[in-house]
Amino acid sequence: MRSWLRVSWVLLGLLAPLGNVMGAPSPMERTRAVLEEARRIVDSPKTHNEKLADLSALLKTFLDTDTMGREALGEHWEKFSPAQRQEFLQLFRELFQRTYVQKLLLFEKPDFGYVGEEVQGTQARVETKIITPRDEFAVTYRMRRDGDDWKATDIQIEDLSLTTNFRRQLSRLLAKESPAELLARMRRKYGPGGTGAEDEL
Amino acid sequence: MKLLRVMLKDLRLIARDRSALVSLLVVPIIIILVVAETQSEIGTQSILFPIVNEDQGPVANALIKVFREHLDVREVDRATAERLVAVENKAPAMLVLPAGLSKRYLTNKPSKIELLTDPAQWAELQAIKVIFLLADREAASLGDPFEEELLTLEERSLTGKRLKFTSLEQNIPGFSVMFVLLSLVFSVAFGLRDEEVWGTTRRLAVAPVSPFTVLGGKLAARLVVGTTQLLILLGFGHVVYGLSLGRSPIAMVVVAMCIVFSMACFSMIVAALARTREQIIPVGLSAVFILAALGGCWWPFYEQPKWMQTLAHGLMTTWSMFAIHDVMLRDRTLLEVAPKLAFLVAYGAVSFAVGMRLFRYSEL
Repeated sequence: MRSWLRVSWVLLGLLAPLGNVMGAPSPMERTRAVLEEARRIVDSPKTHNEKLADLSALLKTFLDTDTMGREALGEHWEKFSPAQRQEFLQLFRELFQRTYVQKLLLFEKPDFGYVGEEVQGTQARVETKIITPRDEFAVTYRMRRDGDDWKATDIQIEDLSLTTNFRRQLSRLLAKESPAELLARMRRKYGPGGTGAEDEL
Repeated sequence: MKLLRVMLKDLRLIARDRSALVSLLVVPIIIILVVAETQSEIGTQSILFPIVNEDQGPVANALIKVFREHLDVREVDRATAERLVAVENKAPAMLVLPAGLSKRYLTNKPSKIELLTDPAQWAELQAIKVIFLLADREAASLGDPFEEELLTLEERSLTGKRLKFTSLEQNIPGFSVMFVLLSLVFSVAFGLRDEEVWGTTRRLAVAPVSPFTVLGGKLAARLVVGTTQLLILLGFGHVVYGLSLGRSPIAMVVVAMCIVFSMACFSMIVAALARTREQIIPVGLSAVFILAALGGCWWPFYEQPKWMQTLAHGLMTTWSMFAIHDVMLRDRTLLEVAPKLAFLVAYGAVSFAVGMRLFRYSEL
């Protein structure tokens, strides 16, 4: 009897996470949910700034900007003090979200296509496209599992990885500037009251 | 007391010529209205800006949206855009957004945007370039957070070799045309009224020549003087300020002749409307100032509100400035500028006919 109980507990322990997995959305479902919500926001009659705020709130839980930020800094990560790293990640979150959201808002009535997903353990790739009357833009999301959720660790538009592009730009700047100067530059644009907040199209 | 009587007598004399009295107020009020109307709409919304959208993508649409906030944007095909800029000169420039612009921009690859210009419309062109900087800055905030140059402007003139002109190229011809018109209007009107004072009118009335010959001969003399005056003024601008006179001296001489012909003939109408010497100054000044202002002698033609531009298309000063700019700034030949000259000659002929019909010596 005791052995049966032990086996049952072991089985429950094994099945519990499986239950979570079964209930959790797939990377594609997660991406689709975010993009469809994004489309609803973009299509809404709200002002540009209201749309910007709604999209930023939506993407906050979808984008893993900390991983992206660390990847974007690459070897330069070591040059930053812990306090500078923390500030950089905060500013990078704002920068990345704004860049991605502004790009999304360029498409006045975006129509998303869902091409496919590829899952390998805790990593996944979701291929989508933005369809315009004249053209299609391939957008691939690189994702990682985060508990029950999936988070995007990079976004590739056509052949351009946004993280890689930021790494190239940051490397170029850090060849000339110190981490403090880079942070000051980012603060001016993406800190509280920065000029990046006023950009509008 | 005597002083008061003299003053009252003079006031009675002045009050006799009601038209001259009214003109004292009407002229400045009209000029103030014209200037105020022009200055009130110094914005750029009346500048026509054709855009050839070969991209049709989101970046092109976003750029067009920004331009639309400041300019009168028309999305047209390349041939129509070129016609509006290079042939009709209705637009100072056209923009070509190349195919694939959006894809290149969104993947951080630089793109060249063509701005094909009519540099003769330099003031409007400057406004467009400022707006382009604004659009570029706004676009840069999207895909270009660290301000790389993703959009570069390639400027090319569609109407000549030079890309830039200065305000002198507007002001020297503008004021030259105005002063020639001023001297023609006053010399013709005063000349005809002076003959009444000198008694020449009676002798001419019994002479075996038609009024057409008399007035035509007088205007022909003014044509020679006016053409010489205009050419000397433009030549002065060329020698002192390096003003371009175009590549065809013959074209410039013929243009000057046609301009002065239309103005000399128009002076007949002013002479006919001003029935006394006292009326010549207010009537003449109001005619000259309004024609100069609306015709683009005081400021670039396209800085005026649209309705004033439409109205101005019926004036000889407008076509005079167009013709001068065609030869000076767009290097156009006599043949190419011929339609504008034909308008000036026709304008002069009609003005002469109207003037002949209206003009009466007050003594006869």
